[in-house]
Amino acid sequence: MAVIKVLLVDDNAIVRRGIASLLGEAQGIEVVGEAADGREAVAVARATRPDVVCLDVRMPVMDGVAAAKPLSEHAKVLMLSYSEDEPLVTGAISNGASGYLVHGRFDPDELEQRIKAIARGEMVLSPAVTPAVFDALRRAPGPSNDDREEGLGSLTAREREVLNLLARGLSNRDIADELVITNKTVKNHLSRIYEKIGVHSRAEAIALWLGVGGR
Amino acid sequence: MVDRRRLDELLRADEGDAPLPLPIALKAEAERWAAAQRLALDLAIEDVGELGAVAARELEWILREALRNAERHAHASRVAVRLRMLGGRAVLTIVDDGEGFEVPDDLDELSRGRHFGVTGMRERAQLAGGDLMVESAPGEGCVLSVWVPAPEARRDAPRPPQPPPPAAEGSDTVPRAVPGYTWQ
Repeated sequence: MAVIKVLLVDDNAIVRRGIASLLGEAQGIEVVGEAADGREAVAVARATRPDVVCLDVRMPVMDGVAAAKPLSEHAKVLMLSYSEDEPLVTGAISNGASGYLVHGRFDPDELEQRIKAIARGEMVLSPAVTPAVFDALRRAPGPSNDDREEGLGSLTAREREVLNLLARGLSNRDIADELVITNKTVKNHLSRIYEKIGVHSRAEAIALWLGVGGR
Repeated sequence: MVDRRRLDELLRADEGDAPLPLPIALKAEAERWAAAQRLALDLAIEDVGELGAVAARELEWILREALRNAERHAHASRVAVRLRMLGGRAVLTIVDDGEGFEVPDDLDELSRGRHFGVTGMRERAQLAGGDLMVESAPGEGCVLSVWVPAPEARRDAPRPPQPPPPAAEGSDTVPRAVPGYTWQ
């Protein structure tokens, strides 16, 4: 396998040097550049074309979560951070990061293995951040996984309730009152439902739901 | 070139003999209207088979009325007309990109405003054993949709697959697998 080109991004020069020296002994890995913030990373990546970007999360100018998006278009992105905060973990993954490792939770050999795994197209997570990912998935489906959810089987219990009331001929206001939610929430439920079951109007949703004996 | 009025006459005369199959009639109606009004038209008309004379007549009437509303009141520039078979019902949806309006909780209240046509359309839909709904908001165009039951024979046709049983309490919170992740 060709040498894996790595770009190191961290606002702390000592951390960068530490990681660089760790990787200096690794076979098949070459550090081709360093950057101190997200914006610089995007510029250096353009010049050095790395295979893997090791990206710090908290940085000035442009943080790692934001930088993961442009960087992941041309390279695999591995987040390296001290933070286990859920919004940062899920934000980085949503923005295209292939992995998230927490400093202090991996040893030198492991970093080398993780970088090689990422370069092969695998995805890696530190055990410390897996709860954050689970928590995010357990909450209401977010926009990041909309496209994986389709068909009647993907409807949540709440969405089935909305459809039942819809099929009984209730107006949005009546549905809102019945479920003790706002009119706007009803509308949001409806657009999600339409998208999931592939319909374009209220009558289509009702016909489909009545047709399958939805209750 | 056939004059539009002459074409209308021909089509009307045709109705007198044997009615056109509904999908063809709706398509002709929408296309004729769009050409006359110089509006963009998106058509997605499925073959819904024989619906019965009442349902077919009312759907045609409702389409005509909906198009007239889109033109006169909503000042729409684009209209989509869709006919589908869903759950043993024929569903007609008419979407316009016009001005839209606040939909009252009780559709009948529209008869007091300038959207009086909707009340009549709903009565027609109910006459055919179905119902009609309006989704709209000021500035967001309007989606008018109507379903009518298909004849019994057609309802015996293969149904769409049954949905899985209702999710057990709380089971919708089970996370989906994230393929490719190495759970360390």
